[in-house]
Amino acid sequence: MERHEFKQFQDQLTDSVLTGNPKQALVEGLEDASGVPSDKRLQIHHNNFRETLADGLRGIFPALEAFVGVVFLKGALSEFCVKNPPRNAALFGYGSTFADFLDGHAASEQVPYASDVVRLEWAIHELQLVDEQALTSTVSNEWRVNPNTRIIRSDYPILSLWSVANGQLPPEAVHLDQGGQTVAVCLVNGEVTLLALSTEESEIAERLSTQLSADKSAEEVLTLLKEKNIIVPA
Amino acid sequence: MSNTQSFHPTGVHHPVGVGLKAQHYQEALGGDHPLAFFEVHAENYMMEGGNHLRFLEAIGEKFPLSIHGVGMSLGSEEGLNPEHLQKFKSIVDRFNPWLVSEHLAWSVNDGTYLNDLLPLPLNDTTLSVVSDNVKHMQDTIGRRILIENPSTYVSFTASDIPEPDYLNRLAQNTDCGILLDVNNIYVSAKNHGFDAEAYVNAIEGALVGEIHLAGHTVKNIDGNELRLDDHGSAVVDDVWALYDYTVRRFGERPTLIEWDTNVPDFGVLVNEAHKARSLMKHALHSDEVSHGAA
Repeated sequence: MERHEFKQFQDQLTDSVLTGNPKQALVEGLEDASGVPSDKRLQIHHNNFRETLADGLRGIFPALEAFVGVVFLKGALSEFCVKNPPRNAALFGYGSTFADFLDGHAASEQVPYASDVVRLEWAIHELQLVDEQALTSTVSNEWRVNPNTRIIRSDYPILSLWSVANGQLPPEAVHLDQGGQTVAVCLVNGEVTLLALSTEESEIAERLSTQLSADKSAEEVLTLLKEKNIIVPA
Repeated sequence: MSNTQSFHPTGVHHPVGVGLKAQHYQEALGGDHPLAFFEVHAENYMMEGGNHLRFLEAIGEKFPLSIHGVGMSLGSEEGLNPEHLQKFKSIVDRFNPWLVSEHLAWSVNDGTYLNDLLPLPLNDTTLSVVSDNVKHMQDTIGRRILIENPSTYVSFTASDIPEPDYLNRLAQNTDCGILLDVNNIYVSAKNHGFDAEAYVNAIEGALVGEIHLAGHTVKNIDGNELRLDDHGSAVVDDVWALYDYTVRRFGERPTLIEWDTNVPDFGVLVNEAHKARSLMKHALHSDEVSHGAA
């Protein structure tokens, strides 16, 4: 085996792992095996790839699983993993685009809130793994969104849905048509907490995430956001 | 490399440990157990911050750690990912582990991570690739590493070096050691129909710096059995017997219980580790031990 043939072999096995359909050249390079045929043995690596990745991601989205069920979630995650394989062996950042994937996922049209629930759960997951930034009590006339905070805006009541999934609200307390919610996911002293924001608060916070100042007329809302530690001196 | 002494901590006898799982952090830290060390997957601690790192720091202050990589892809023709290598080095620098190990396998191709320990043909071409990658890793992290034998389901017509010889030669080429996974030997032996004890006999014992034990599952495919290395159950009797054979042949080696899926209570892992320790102690007091046998 020459080195370029080794590379060809790795290309062929990669394709087999991702698609589950090994090319003939790869199968011909396998030793004949007694018992389980070689092509079925190869299938184990395709199954390992899909199932271990999907199982790992499942743990990040328990609220979504509570609404759509294990079978649906595992199916969607398997599809996501095959179409968006990881580019990094450290998998804690893998899955950040699952919400975007669901937005274009035909089977998820029946659960239109799903992608925003995923965004909320991803923010919770992500903040548990970042280095919490120390905040200095600087005096400033300019404000920015707290770097330890993620703001998730949805046309659906995602905080209420999340609370139902966690048993903090009864299912009958939430209606999909009750209107959207904006949630601030905050990391404070190593603990992640969720806060609902009013429409005015979310608009100001959103404006501050792209620029450092807000209108004078927004002073009252700014005060509220400061008190909640969602904005900090820039 | 001439012996395993550089892999041994001073003053630790019959060292047995378990793979550290997040649900066991508090019990591991509590210290009410006979475990000598904990092993973690490097990739699970490459994040910026958070409780996982805080717990590992706390546990690492009380117990020796073994850092076990699963994503370096030492068998990749394209070489190592420099970013991943630097993150691995950062973990090693930060936690100063007792042992560092990786696998004889590959998982990255054209930058895509395939999240599995994939097999490679065993021949001079691949040995050269793996040797270069092991040297690169060791030079970068500034540590000798142990390379683990894989469990495999397929074999290749392009292979012409028996796996134990391949590992021995890899160690000669790179000065690395061998992490002998006894369950993997058993799984591969059953899947390919070779003699597991003959495999152990062919390994140069002085190179073995750690032993892994784990459970596996038996899958029935069209009426035929295939063993899958899933680390999801207790070590089976046949693997305990092969472990007994191995420690009688090689003597005391740090031994780790791996249990990564369907993770049980901490006490179950401790009991498995206790069993390994008992077997190791018994083997050391037997006349049959031939330390460092070739």
